[in-house]
Amino acid sequence: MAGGGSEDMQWCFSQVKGAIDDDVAEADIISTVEFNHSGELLATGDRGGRVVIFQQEVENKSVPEYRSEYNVYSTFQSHEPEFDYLKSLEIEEKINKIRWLPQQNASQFLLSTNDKTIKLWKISERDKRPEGYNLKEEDGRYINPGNVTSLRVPVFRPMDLMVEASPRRVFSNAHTYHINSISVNSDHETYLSADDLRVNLWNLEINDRSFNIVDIKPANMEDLTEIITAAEFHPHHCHTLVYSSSKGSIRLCDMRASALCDQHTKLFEEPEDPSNRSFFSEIISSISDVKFSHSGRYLMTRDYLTVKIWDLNMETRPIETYQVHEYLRNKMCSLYENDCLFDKFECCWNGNDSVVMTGSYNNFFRMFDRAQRRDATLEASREHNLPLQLLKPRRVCTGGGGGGCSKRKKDEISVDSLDFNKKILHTAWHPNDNIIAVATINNLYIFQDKVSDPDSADDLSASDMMCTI
Amino acid sequence: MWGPGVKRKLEQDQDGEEEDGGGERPPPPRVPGFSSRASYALQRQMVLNISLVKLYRPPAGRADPGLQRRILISNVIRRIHDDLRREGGVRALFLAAPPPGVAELDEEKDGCYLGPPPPPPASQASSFGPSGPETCLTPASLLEEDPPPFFTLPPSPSFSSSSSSSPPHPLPPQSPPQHLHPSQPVDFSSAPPSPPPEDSFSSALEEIEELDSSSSSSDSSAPPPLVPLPTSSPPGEPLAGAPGPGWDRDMEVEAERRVEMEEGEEEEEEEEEERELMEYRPTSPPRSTALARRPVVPSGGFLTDFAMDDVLFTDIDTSMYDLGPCGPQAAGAGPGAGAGPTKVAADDMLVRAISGYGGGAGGHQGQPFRMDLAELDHIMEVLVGS
Repeated sequence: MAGGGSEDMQWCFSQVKGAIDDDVAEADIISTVEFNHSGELLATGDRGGRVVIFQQEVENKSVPEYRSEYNVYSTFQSHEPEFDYLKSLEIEEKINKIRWLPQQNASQFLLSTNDKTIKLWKISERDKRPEGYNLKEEDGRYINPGNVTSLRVPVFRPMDLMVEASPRRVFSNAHTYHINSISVNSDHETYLSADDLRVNLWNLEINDRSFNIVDIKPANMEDLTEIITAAEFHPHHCHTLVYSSSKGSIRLCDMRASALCDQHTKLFEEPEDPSNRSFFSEIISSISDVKFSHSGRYLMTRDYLTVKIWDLNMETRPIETYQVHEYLRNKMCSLYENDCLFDKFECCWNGNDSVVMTGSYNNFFRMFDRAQRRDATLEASREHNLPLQLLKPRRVCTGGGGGGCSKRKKDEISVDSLDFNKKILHTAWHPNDNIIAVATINNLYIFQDKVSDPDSADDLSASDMMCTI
Repeated sequence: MWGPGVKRKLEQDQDGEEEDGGGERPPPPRVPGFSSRASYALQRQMVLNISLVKLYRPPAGRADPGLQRRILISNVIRRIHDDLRREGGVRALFLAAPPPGVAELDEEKDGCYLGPPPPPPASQASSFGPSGPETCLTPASLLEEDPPPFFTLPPSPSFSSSSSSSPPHPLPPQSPPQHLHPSQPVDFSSAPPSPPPEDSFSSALEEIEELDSSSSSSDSSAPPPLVPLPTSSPPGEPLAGAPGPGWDRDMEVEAERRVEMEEGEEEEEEEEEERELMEYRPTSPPRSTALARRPVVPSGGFLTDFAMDDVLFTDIDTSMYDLGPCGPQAAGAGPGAGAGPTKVAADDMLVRAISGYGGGAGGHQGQPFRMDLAELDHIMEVLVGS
């Protein structure tokens, strides 16, 4: 069922993956989360260069309100740490992005990338194996041909499911700067990879050649003040791509116009609000994520404090702006000092583009229902881990004057109590269902929309569910 | 969430203002005794200091911190500099230097972070070259003792196995930028009674100024910007081509002055290049050049800078001194912003630096520099050759 925005959604806990203890190994920190095109598979990448794929089990029809769980399907080491001897720098193995290819045969394909190298992985299942060779025993020992008295035809027999991941292509040495985005084109033949200054176009079959389509590197590096932060292909038009910048602008390029798309076709930029100017205006306007809607009509961008929805037909300003955590505006100097101001939050659409979601601090994540003009703050926490337990909306109060926060309401928390080390940067929404994957530092939470049951006592009224900050 | 070094009283005093998020518009004064203007200037200075520290202390991690972070911090610094310039005045001149460029960040060049940062905007350009020709060799005497609280430079990744583990490197003494007012003589000699220093930094400067009074050039004029009008400007021995004790003091004074006046500019500009060139640069007629000398505006601004500098100077790490012949030999920056690929040969760098700077400083300085080359080479060998 498509993710519906018209009914009030009530989210409940489904699963949590990852270590329970608070002692987080850096390698386990999740760095990317992505559903595949059917939603059956959920991939995560971490700082240790590993990819873990979860698969949704076949739905249990006897318990209709309990959607299937995601269980580990495959785990493999995608990238290894490398050392660039020329520059005396380590190349981190952290997986920056994973993008699934649309499924074309029995195997699944995904692209995973670290700072410098993109790899195409084939994930295939093996559940049968041939048995009954004439010249070989089952354990592999060869049979003396002289001892063979009769011949037989080997047959396939079922075996335990084995999932294999094998690297099919390695796309390397095309990026001088750190890769921040990859995006598969709608033609299913090409994909783009973007680093701080360039966007390259690849053919999935050809790994020793890529074409540069955007290059914003100035002739004199000292003139550099703006870099590329994210890039994506249009979901339907294989000639259209967008890339966002550190100054808050988005450029749409049409590859039919020229081979090198340095001249943008459209420039989406909102004039700065003069009343909000500060030393940090530019940093908080830097776009950390850009996502086309499924329809291809809209574009969503995430900067530090807001989520903006743009109509591709209007470049002058976004059509919708949602405040994610406006209460942080007064904390910007502190956040600058502890580097939180550089955090790159991602955002995602639901299946029918009616709701958008993004992460925040204190393991909070925010949902904005575009149609209903409502928003909700929810928390991914180990404290509410009973199956099907409803998530209670949270509220952040800005302590003005003497405190401002009602201590009695335990769902309220003051700005000063927020834990800025607990940040949700990566979220993903199932393409068809109301199932979301939310990554805290080292845990992956899966929440699902509670299938509404009028007789259930757990139902909350709609007004309880949604609250605004 | 504040880092070390931030004075509590300051924090409390501007608690109200802080809550405005460091905004550019001065908040209404809520604390008696603090004008909104001053608190805004304090905020700005604090942000500038934080930015500089961030730029040169890489975040935890073994890999390259990333271009985006550097660009964003550089832009903050640039913005503050523009703001200071718009404010005008002497202070603006000294501090409104261009923010660090990313020439050194260009990974496509031969693999190391190259030299000096960007030329200033056109309004300042005039003869702005790579940086004053007066940048000078750190005398051995200075190296042996605790380094003065120079603002530190980032180490080049090529010098160490990982950039993040290398501590910042002390800035060698350098002269004020040539470009500001090449025609006006610079006078270090004035060692007038200064206002009571607010911290050890100013008092150190004071002492150095006094020491220097006997060795400075004969040029008289305005005092260094951080010190009020001089009461006397004793003639000093000509510095050009004068090695010896006066030379050492000149170094120190220059270093101090450079730190003060180019807070925002120095490290970004010099970086690797300075570190390598520091052993080679002649002393000099820095006296006769560069810095605009004007009647100082004894504003609280400069003294404020001193206070803020404490934030920066708490963490001097001298381990770079132990690295041995890392400076000039390592592939590093060539002189001049945008001068092109790195030049490794020390002598080449020196000569180039001289000729390059000579253009800015006026060719007359070429001769005295060359006479010092042999001297410098000798000192270099002493410092590095061992």
